[in-house]
Amino acid sequence: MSIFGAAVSARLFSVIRFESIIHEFDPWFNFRATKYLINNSFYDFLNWFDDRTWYPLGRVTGGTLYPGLMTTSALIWHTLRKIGLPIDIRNICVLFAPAFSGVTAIATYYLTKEIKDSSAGVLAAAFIAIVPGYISRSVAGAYDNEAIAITLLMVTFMFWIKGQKTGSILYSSFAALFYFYMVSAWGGYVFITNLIPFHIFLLILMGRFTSKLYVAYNTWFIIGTVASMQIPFVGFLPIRSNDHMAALGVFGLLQIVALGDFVKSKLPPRKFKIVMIVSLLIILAIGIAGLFLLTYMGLIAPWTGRFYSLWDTSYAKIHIPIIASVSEHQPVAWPAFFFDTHFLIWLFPAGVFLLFMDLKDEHVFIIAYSVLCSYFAGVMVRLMLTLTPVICITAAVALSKVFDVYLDFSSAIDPQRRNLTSLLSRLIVSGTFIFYLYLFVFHCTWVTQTAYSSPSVVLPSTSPDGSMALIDDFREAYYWLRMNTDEDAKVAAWWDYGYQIGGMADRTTLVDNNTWNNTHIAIVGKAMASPEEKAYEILKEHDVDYVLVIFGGLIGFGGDDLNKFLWMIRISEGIWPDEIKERDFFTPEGEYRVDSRASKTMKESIMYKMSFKDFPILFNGGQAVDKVRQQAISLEDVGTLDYFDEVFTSENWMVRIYQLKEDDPEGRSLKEVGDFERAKGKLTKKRKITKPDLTLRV
Amino acid sequence: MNASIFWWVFITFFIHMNSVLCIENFIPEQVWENIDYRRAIDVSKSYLSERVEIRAKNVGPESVTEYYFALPRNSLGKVSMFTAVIQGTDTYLNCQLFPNVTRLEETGEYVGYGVINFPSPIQPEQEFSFITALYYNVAGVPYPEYIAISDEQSLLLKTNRFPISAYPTVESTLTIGGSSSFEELNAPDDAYLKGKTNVPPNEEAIFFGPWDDIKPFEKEQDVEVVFNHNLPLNEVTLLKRDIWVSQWASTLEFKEYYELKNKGAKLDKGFSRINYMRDQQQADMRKSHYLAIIEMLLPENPFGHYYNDLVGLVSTAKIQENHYFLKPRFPIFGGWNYNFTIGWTNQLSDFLHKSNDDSDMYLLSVPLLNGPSDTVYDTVEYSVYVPEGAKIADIDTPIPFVNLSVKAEKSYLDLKKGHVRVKITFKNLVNEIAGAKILIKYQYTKNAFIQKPLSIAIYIFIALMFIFLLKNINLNVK
Repeated sequence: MSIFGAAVSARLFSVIRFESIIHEFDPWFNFRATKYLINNSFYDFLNWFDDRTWYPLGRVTGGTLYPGLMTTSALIWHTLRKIGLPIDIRNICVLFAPAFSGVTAIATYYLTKEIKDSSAGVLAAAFIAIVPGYISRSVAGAYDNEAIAITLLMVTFMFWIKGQKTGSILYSSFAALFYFYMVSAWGGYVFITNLIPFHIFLLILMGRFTSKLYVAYNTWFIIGTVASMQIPFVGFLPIRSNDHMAALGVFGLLQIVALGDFVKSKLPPRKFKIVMIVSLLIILAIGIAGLFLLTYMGLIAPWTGRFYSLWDTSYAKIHIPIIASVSEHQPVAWPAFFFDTHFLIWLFPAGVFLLFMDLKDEHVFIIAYSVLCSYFAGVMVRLMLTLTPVICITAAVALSKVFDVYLDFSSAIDPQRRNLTSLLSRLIVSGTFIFYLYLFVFHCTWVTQTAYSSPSVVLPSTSPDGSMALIDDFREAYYWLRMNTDEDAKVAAWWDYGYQIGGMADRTTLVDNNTWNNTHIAIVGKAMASPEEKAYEILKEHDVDYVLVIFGGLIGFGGDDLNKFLWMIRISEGIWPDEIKERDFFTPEGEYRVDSRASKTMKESIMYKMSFKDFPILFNGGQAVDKVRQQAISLEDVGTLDYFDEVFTSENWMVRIYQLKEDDPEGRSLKEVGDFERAKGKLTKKRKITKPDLTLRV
Repeated sequence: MNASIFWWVFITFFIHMNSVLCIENFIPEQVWENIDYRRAIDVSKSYLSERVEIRAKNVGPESVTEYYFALPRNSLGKVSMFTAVIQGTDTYLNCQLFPNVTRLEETGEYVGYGVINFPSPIQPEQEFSFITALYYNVAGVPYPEYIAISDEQSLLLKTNRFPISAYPTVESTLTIGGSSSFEELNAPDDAYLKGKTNVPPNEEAIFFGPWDDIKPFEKEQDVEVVFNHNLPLNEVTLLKRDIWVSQWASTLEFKEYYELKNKGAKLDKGFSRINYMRDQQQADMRKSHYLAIIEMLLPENPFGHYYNDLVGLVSTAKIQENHYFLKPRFPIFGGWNYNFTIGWTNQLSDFLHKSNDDSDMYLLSVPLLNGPSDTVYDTVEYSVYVPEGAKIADIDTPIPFVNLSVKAEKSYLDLKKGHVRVKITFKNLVNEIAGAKILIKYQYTKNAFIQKPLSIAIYIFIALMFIFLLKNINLNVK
């Protein structure tokens, strides 16, 4: 109970420091989908066609999302309403992840209890409750699939371990049910789909086949697979995609092994050997040929790009820039392991070793889990999340083993066998570990508070008088869009902001974080990288009304569009290699610059012009320093914008919104209009340069 | 055919407004003569206030108690408040808007009426002086419509030149004041009709007349006046004001949702942050035509403030005693909208009075509005939530409402019928009448007071018992 409390409260830092708000990017979509679900029926939700994103294509949202998260929170919302607590759906979504992480801790307790004993269980539960690697994805406001998925992962594994231990159909059915729930909630369910068969496969290889395994696996596989096919997004994948082939294969293998077992018990050993060899060869041949044939005929889906990048980290960079451009898909840096798990990371191998010493069936499962996950986590940051629970479990096993031995002071108390050295060593070892535990708790609190509790929509800063102020530019601009533009205005922005625009500004976007159509994203990238006239043409073709760019140069916000610009160029270069060339955006020396030495193509791109419009004027018309790139921009570097009107810029210039101009009534091109106006301006008034001394709130 | 549809629409409009069938060609009895009719319009706010001093003589054969005050077409249905007072005293006269209208022969325009009732009948040939005050949810329109950030805003006001009255008028004048500069647009050549500025004693006004002997409904070319008004024209298109009475916590909670709009001049080009920063720098404390700070005047000793909008908390707000300064996410320029919600809490004892005789009767008195100054409200949905189990005895509003309903609504831990919600809808309010009180008398018995926590406790007990029973079920197959 207190662990549950700790797990929940540690995740509330963000609410206390900021407010009850949805974080990041993806959660905004989930939030919007949840709102749709509670305002419409469940069937409407499954058939939801969203015409407010991916304009003009739209998105078959109902069929391309994992509904588990939204249905769960909608269910909670309805239940609470029934019992007289009409809580706002936003608060349910914000507090969803902390609540479920409490459940995770409980599930981890029972799982570890099955592996070792209840003392290890308590430790494991305590670890998972506060380990930063898990907190990073489950703070209040991180309303994402992972928030519920890790809980379900643990619950499924718990029931699976129980099921395979006892051979109970009840537990395996529960495992299958939670597997189904997991499938409905997160794409990472594939991990379970492969891990459980892998476990069975290892056990068979080790000659540990029993009828308990047979019962448990068959129950789980059949119920789980049939149930998972009910999710629209998954559909027939379980029998077509290669990701799921292992489960199917092991299912077949298990039947054969069971048959072999049966035959073995009836036949004398020599005859059985021949039968076995012959039948194995035949099955192998048929199996491999069948797999090839089906893949060749296109009946089963090819391996997905994300999956390739699991095996070869450089695959994505070469072939699919859009996958590589997501920071979540980058390999983990080594310090991150320590940062996210602290001293558990070196208890982890020790725990695995201890499990090897024992090596019961369920230990094989944990070992397989840890080996697989360690590799995956090394490939993708995102998968660090699945590794964290097993680190907690094994570390808890190791630590409780240590404590079993060294906290046992019975011999020291017993006057007959008193031994000073043994007492001393006991004291030192247990003291050290208790100190480590103390450090761990301290580290976790610190990491959670500083690194993982920022909503990323709001940035903290200090006001001149030293009190905490918030930089709230994103919401300022999104809210402006929501209040003051046409309801079906189309906004072109880089895909990172798609969900936020959809969620906060409630306007139609061209591309968003559901990166299902690479070409469409490339179009936006191309427009951003093109000179004005061409960009205007591209954007007009797509009925765009507003263009939104993020500019961090004034306050030093590193994640702005100019820093993401190279990805836009690369992605569009992948589609139009003749028109967009990455090389053109670098200086002849091969540098990425935005100052006076920037290449001509760079300076002509609308991204450059839109980011820096008026920026040098702010610094008395002189040298303006871009605080992100530490380069000086002067007035001459920034070209004129004839095709776009600045309609809004947020307080710290972070979000700049431009409107596409109307065609000139006299039929001139907008460039001619601009040139004419400038010429007229020069004639009629000598440019009055006022130099107000502007102070900025940073 | 078309015309008949128009009639129908018009009539239903009036039924809606007044819930009384109206006569469309009504002409008041010709029993009065206006000896003196002095009309003064004040344009210093984002709504018009009009003050008419009338000295009238009963020219009929009998004594009269009613005076029909004519209202021009453009203010029909926009009147926010209509009062009259006897000249030189504080005695308010009983007056209300009248459903019947007159259609003028020449122009086809409509004229509506407010009826003023005198305390005692006025005998034939006797004179009577009174002052009528009117507030309209009408303001000048931006002129020009598009301006730059640093420009000053001017408004154009169009109104009738001669007084509109159902009675003949002997002498009349018109004064428009409340701005530093006035200019008449399309002024007639005739000096008799034309407006004069810089007339002492009131130099910050434009003065028309005096005109002699004007016939009933006589019409001249409308006055068009352009005046400087470098202030935002705040218009709250919708205000939802929720007031929660909690007798257990002994608090009164306010929650207000505003849909705010600036009716002022729009920006000629898009919003340029650099120009805005310059203007802010130069303007310093100068007033401007955009709304950068909203100042709310709350009842005394508020606490527990919050300020948010549809995308979450807004962190830029300051509290100074009972002033609540809100900085919107972006400055609100002409034509821009901003929606937000604020809330605060007050001690209940400042608003609730327990009656002495019958111990279960309570009288709640809450101010009509707590919004920013210089603001008009198109629609106000005013809801008061009294505790679950209370019975409404009486409701009194200081101004006429459009709609009133008493219903139950479920809220937190309302396990029975829910809170009793009194919902009153008003139209065309101006912040001039913010201080007026709405009175609600309700009965709330001790029984109902105790019943609430008791029923919650019982439900929790049942839930716990249920869990206990579930735990005792043995699922073992063996």
